[in-house]
Amino acid sequence: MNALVYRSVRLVDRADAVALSFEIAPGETVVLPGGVARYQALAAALGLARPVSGEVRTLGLDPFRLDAMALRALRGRCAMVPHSGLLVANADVRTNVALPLLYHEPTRDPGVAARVAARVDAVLDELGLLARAQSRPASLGYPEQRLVALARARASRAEVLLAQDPYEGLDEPMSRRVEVLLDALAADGCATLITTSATRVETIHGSRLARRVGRRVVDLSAVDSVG
Amino acid sequence: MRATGTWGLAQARYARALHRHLVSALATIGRPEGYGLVRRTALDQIYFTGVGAIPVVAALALLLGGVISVQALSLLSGTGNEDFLGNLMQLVVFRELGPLMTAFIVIGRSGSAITVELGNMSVHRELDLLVTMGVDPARLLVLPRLVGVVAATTCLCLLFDTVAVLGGLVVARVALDVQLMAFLHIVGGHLTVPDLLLSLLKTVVFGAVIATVSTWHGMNVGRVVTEVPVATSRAVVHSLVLCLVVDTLLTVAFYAGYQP
Repeated sequence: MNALVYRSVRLVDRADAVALSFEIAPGETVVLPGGVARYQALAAALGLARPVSGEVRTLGLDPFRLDAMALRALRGRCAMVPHSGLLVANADVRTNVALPLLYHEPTRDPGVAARVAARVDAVLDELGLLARAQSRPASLGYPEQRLVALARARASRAEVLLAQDPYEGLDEPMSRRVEVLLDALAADGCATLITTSATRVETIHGSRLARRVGRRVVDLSAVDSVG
Repeated sequence: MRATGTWGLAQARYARALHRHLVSALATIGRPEGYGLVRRTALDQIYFTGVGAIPVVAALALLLGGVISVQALSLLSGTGNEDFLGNLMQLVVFRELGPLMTAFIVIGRSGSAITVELGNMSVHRELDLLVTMGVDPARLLVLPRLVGVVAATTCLCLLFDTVAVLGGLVVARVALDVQLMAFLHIVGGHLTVPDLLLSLLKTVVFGAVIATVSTWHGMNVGRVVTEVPVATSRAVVHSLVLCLVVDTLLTVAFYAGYQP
């Protein structure tokens, strides 16, 4: 079963609006180019922005037909890294990364809380962020905030990652760290949908590119053939 | 007439929105999700709203208790009606001042802080972020603040009542050499169970009103940072007005035709 399915999805009610049609298997990454209502494309997968037409299925479920509890459970299995609003300012890095795990796991059991803490610390250590675990987001730079938001997806073992311009504004070393993290997520079987206005990201990960053809985004080409 | 109708409709819509907001938070009680986070946030709120306000509440209660006692005794001294001090403490402190002054302090200290915190979260899209994670803001943000503010307001009111009586006692002892037991007998003799129950009910309702209004205004801030102070100002004013309205309604409902 594909993790993400977009079938003739039109996100804005305009005559020149493009329609999205593609599927993403677990462990696969797809990059959506600019000009396709990029935020809405990601939000639709979580039931946050209803498409004008077409069908979206996330992990086999239609997010717009779920009741509130089932929808929250579905969102708990996914992770979204938007442009802004990456972290909760009032919580430290460790809590930010642990938040979805602490919310969705039954934490009345102290053993679970300890396991969550160990898991979070292991991910932060892997990314070289453990020393900043008790820092507030305000003390981090934007690239580090972005890395922490991605670390949250890794710690919660997200099955679907929806990322908006994950490489934007990053220098080379930080881009490399993000790349390693995205690779690790893909290796864990996470289906990743990236929206970007940049082009260089398309050359990374051997991702497929959702190519825009006229008013439809349908043609998924191997990166090698994109050129 | 038309303007009055429009205003009335707006108030009805506002009341309905607050009601829905409160019900959506209460509906999350008993759910297992995020239990540890909710408990920790509620305890933090109790600490900030309750423990943090103890010095202010105690000082205010001591001074007001003293002032009421001085005023009462200056009128009653030598008239043989010193017992009326008990009535006055019962009427002023336990029935009205205790719950109301506590609510005013909580509104100023905590209600405004809650609106600012949630308003900033809204401006910086943190509420949207929580929703994308499958977190229910009504459970994680509203419920613990509701529980925390209600619990803290109730405890603070009990503290206010106790310290106000102590303030009255100090003044009575120093100024008029009234004995401790005699003073407590005068005050305690007039205090009834319905008075205490109403005082408790008022503080619970005031706490719920403050938490509901503050969180609703905070979470309905848009994307502009200048909306935060406007929302905070509205939350404070609306909380004050609603507490007074609720106080009036409860007092009328409870004491209309009541004979102790």
